[in-house]
Amino acid sequence: MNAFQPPEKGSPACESGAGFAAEENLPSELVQTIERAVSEAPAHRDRLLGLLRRVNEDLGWVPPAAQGMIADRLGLASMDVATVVSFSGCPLTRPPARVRLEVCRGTGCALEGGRVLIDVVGVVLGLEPGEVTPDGQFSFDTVPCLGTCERSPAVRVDGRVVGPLTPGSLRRLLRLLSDAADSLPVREETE
Amino acid sequence: MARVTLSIDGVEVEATAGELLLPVLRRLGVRVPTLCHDERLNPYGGCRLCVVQRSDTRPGLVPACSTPVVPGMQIATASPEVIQSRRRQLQILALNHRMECPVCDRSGDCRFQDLLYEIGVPDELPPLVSRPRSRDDSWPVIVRDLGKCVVCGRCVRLCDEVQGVSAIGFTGRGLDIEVATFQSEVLDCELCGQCVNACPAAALLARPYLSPVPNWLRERRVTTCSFCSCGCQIEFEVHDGRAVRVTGPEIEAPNRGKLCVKGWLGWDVLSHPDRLTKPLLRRSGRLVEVGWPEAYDAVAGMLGAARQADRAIVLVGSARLTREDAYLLQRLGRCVLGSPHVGVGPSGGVRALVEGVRPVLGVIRSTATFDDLAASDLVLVLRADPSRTHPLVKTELVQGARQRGRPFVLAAGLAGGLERHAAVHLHLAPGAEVAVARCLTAQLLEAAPGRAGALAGHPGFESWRTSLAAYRDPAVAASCGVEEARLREVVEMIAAAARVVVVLPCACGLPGDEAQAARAAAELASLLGAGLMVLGEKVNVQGVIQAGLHPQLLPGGRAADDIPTLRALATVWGGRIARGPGWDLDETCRRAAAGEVGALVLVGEDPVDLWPRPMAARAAVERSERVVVFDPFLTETGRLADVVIPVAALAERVGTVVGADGHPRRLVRAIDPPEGLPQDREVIVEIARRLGSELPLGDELSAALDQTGARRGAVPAPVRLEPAPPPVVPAIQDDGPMVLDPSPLLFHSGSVTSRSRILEGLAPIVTLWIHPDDATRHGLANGEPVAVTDGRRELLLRARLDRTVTRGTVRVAQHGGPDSAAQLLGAEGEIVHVELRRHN
Repeated sequence: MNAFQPPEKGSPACESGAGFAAEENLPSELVQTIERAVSEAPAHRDRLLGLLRRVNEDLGWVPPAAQGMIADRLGLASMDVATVVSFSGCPLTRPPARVRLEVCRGTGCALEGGRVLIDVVGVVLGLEPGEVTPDGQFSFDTVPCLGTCERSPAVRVDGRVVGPLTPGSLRRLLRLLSDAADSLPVREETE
Repeated sequence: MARVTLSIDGVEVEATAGELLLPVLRRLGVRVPTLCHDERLNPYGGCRLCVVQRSDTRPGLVPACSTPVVPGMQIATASPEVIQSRRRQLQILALNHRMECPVCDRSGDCRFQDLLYEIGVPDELPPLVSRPRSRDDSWPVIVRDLGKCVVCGRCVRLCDEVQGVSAIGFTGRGLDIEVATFQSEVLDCELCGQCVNACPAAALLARPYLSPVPNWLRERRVTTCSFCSCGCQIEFEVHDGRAVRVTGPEIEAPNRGKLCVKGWLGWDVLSHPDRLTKPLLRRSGRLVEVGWPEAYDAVAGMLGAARQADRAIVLVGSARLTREDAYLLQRLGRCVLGSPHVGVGPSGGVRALVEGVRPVLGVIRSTATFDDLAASDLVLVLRADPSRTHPLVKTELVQGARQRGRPFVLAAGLAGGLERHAAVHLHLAPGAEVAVARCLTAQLLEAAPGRAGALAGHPGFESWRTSLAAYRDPAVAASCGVEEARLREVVEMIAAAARVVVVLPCACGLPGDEAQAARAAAELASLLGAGLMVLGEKVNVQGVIQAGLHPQLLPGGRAADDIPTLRALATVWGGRIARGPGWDLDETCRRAAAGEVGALVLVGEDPVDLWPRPMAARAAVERSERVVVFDPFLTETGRLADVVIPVAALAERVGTVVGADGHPRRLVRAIDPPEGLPQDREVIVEIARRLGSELPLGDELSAALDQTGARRGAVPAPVRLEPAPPPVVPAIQDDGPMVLDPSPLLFHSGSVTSRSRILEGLAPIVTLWIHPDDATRHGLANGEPVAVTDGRRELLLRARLDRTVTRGTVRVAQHGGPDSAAQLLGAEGEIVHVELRRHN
């Protein structure tokens, strides 16, 4: 029998205690991963970022149900976790694409002309920051400082920082990635 | 505390080391504009409107709200840089604020508007893009208008640091930041209204309080909330004699602006259609409206006839009466009518105070205040989570834990969300708190024998101490749901803490014997030199008992058969006084049902609908020869009465009540009662006059309260330690019948709240909470209908699976109503076993 279900609408959760488990919607391996990670040290709110990172490394994003489960285990409210997730910009709040592009909008990159890189990715892939190509191949985000100012302006591709980049070298990089993906989401540009 | 010297606008000033600049500046009378600052919250430094200029070792603009004073600091509070910075900052905030002040609900009562007038904004626009946002009407009660949000974060921080709920939070950052719920779901929270009341713009509004009446036409009156005993101060905004809006004034103790859903929204009760405006008198079997003199004559005639015939007269008042009303009611009974049978209706806290606290501590009040709670090192909450019953106490516990790191132990079966903030949550079986409190006391007697010194002189100490030996057996705690290691952990925490406060929430229908729980709690508090807060269910539990509205106690708290006190009272009251003790409620019901009662006077009490064991209460009302009811509403009991006298509701009254912290608080006439309805005391004086006695009103009444000790609080009573009875542990079986765990609700406490359409609408549907393992055993799935029966009566509820419920128990809402656990409850505190059956 399916033991836990989210509370029905129209019945305030605060009158019932925190008795529903978000993890029912999560794959059991992930539930075990989180459970194991939580049990490594006493549950405390200070551990939130570390746990989010663990899940993000595993899955490439932190699904809402995982946010709820981490909140429950650390004695936090779901919204406490959601605030941190949305503030940090990463971990992501949607499933990852095959190629994850994250353009740095930190101060160092901005001074080196990094804003142009945001435009280049936008034009070449036809995406706004935060969007994914319809075929799910590329995701495009802008992120707070990557902490790699020596390579500014920089882009992170699947977790690896590439830079310094010029608009031209970024276009070539996108083409390479697109060829490797064996599909052609990249539009030809007329310069 | 070390003092530091700094210079403010060229003047040498002293301050305490570690103090923040803002309070220092405000003390000096310097006007510092703030938007995100809130005395109840940790310093935040978000809005940057409080910047001042520092020009010593680390020059620059610093936020006064979050910068500590440093020796030799040089501060300018009104330099051109400061002014310019504030104006620019305000402009950035104004960029995303939809300026529609002329039609805005908050116009004239808006911090942001005030600041715009005061500081102004630069002419040129900042190089930023505004994000127009629209109003969101999808949440219950609260309207969210992000187009007016100035991102001060007060709502979000109050929800987290004070309310401990975090139902709302920020998502995103920079200009994209929004106040939102998890996954943008519809708001699901306690609806305390903290966020709405703290909003300095109009980004959060209360839908029931949207009004076309401009703020500057509203009269503001502060009075005491009457829903529970916390004694919160609330502000009615009144126009044309009607409440337009209710808020919590931030400067008033004890709540400092904090409210709960009842104190915020429950005031539509005042205009409920059941409100009476004319007295009703039964004629030819029917209740008909009559004039006031006629009604008074009728009541006096009935009482006089009963007195003449030497028939028993019983007067029962509510724990919602003011101290003045309660005093006059018992004086009418004891002196004018010569009947010792005066009493207070069933309300959580009455038995705790009279039978638990008084014999052990010698007083009939709480011995800890809200300030003591704030200054304590450790709080032990016994019996129930005050989140549901006493929301202000809950916020004090959350603030202690979240802002000051002061831990608390929650020893309660029911947890309403507070367990998340507790240092330790002892998840007790229903009714186990008495045994657990004694286990703790027994362990502490061993662990910290030095602390027993204060108790050692009390009569009965040795036999009491010996009787506790049985509670040292770890098996006792274990069967209550507490492992030995957890118990030891708590004992160590308590032994290490210098200032402890014990909190005992009381509510009708909670499992376990309230008097025993209070006794055990008082003994523990006494041992520790700790304060004890008895949280009465209704607003004035402590006050009405202190005023003598109890069959065993005279005003001031002396026993009802204490001859010297009776003599002293006789000289004040001028007449013979009936010697008690009078009948308690059970005996009243029994005697009345047997036809022994000549007149039953019920002041603010509705036995038929709201007393436990409703059938016995109905029989008592039906078989009393004459029944007189005073009530703002036409109640079920009123429908059976011979006379119904309509009276003003508490928000329409003047008087005093004694809060859960033992402090008296004033009731101010916030709203004018409909058709000038009298207060109970005025009715009592009219009736007494017709019976040939003059009772005091006004200043004379205050003087009489002082003279009898009814206002000084409790006169010390003799203290004696009684041996503790052997441990009674709740029998929870793995495969037998389930134990009923009646659970108070936050939105709906039964009597007054049942006449608030707003609160009724927000309360959950009738639900049975059950552990998933037990649900499996009974073949129940989430959301299925289930019949619960004790063999005689049956409730049909909807099952909700919840792993916070103790295995072997089922939690059922308890609010005294027909679909609540009240229907299944036996004698007070008795543990009830129930059978479950899936309903097809």
